[in-house]
Amino acid sequence: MIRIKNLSYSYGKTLVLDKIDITFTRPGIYGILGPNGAGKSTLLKIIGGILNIPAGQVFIEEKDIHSIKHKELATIIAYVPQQFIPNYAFTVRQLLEMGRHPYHGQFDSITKEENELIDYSIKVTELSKLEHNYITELSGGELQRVMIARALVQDTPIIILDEPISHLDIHYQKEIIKLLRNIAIDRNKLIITVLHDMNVGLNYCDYIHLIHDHKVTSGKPKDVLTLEKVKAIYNVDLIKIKHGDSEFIHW
Amino acid sequence: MGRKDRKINIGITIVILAIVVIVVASVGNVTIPLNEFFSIIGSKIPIIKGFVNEELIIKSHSIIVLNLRFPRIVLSMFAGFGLAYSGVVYQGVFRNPMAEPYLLGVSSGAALGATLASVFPVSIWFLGFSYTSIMAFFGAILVLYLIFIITNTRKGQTMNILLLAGLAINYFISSIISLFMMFNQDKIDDVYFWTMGSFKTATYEKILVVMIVVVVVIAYTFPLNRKLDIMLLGDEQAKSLGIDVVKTKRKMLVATSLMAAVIVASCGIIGFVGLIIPHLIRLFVGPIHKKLLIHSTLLGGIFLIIADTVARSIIPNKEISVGIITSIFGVPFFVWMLLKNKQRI
Repeated sequence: MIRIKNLSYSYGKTLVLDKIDITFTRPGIYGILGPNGAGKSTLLKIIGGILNIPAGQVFIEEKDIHSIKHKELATIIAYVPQQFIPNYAFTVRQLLEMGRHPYHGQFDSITKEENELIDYSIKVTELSKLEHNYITELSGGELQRVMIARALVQDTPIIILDEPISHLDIHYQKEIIKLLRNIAIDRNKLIITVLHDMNVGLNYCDYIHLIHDHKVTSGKPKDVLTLEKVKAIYNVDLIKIKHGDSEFIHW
Repeated sequence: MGRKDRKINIGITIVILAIVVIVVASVGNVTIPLNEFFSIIGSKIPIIKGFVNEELIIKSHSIIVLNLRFPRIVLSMFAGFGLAYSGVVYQGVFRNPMAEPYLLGVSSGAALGATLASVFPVSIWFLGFSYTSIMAFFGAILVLYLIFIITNTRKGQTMNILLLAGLAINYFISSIISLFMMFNQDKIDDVYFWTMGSFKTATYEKILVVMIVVVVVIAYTFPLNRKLDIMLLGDEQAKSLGIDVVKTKRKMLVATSLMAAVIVASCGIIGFVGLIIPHLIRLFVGPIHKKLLIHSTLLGGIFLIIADTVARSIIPNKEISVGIITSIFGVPFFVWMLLKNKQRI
């Protein structure tokens, strides 16, 4: 569980987040939406311990993130960045093995169980053919799947992702969202993901935090992502399409 | 496209190192046969001593081997170990293939120390190190300290600041040296030849100091090799995988810079080894630091032993600075390797 209390953040003089309160309580998928520059990635980086903030604002399992050591935090939260451009020719498997680093002492090596976890992660992200390829030779979408696989290898109760499907084709968009749903349900994980696609938010998330004008609106997808609200926040004309039980927003 | 098998065996590298040590011992102005070389070395080792046929040994050869060649070989080996190892660490920490052990002022600081020593000469020796060496060491440490102080006063983007502070201070120190030289033109030769590097002054005391420092620094930093791998992915990812990036980087840089400073004090500024050897090994073993560190270290040793042998024997009765040899022979070889392996660096 993550509790954010009265959190403000600025880059220099530019205010991004202004005294926001957010909680992530149960396992499930939490979508974070909002216009460009609203502070979605900033929020993720704060939760992931990558941006430093003063004490008393972010609590993970009731502990102030400020007092959690890097290594311990990495066993609670796995972070999948928005874009990762590798410069060094590690193989996919070598990169996945790094996901076990938070659990290792200086002289530990990968155990049999850890190898099985890596095999499992490779399988569910459909990376079997790429296992021994160099990460420098992968496409953006392949790399995104590798990073998600590494988050699974890291085996944390919380996974945070920054636009995990933006670089993927339709096939993998669907597969990755399904995969995230499955791990949220089967493995009881709390998944927080920044999204741009309203419709993924509407139909696959359990809860939405919509960030706009330095503030946040939270609630069930259908309550937060209403046509009027989205129109106003994004300043764009939209229509709603119904198909069975599902609703879609389109321009 | 699968992973190519990139195998170089540690055992083979160590055997090559041993062969190089033995072969170069017989090379020089006086050729000493291998069996005599073994007898000379053996006669100094307690248990083996009894089995050695002392009649084989020519007294003058014994002096050449024990007092001149053997110390040089061992010192150049440890210097090579340390410089190549530091080079790998620097390139990893800065995620920059241009990084090398002299980046943070070790060389310019040492040169300044050596300059001051020759302008204000005093006759002091300490643990086999001359006054020039001692001044060089403190010069290097002083400049290192200065650069870290400048960096610590700024938060964030530490590595870029460190890099820029290093560059700026290096230029600053170079100007100071030039200023001293302008007013002491008779000392230019001394300082100039000192900076180009030589193992001529190798002694057993010096070897002991360099050896201890190299072994301790490697033992202290080698267990961090997996963190170096992860830090190659960038600071954000390293943090999210539980690494205290700033602390780890500082630890590694301070330790390896100290090692480089001791090496520079013992033999002058030998360039190229710390920059190129890590690259060369990376072409074969890839970016995993465990392999990269081990093989670079060994090859650094082999390379400097050979370079020093060439330096002391290529022109009869005349020494060439070893720094010249490392570059003249190393650079063409390296360029050839780069072209041959152009698909990956």
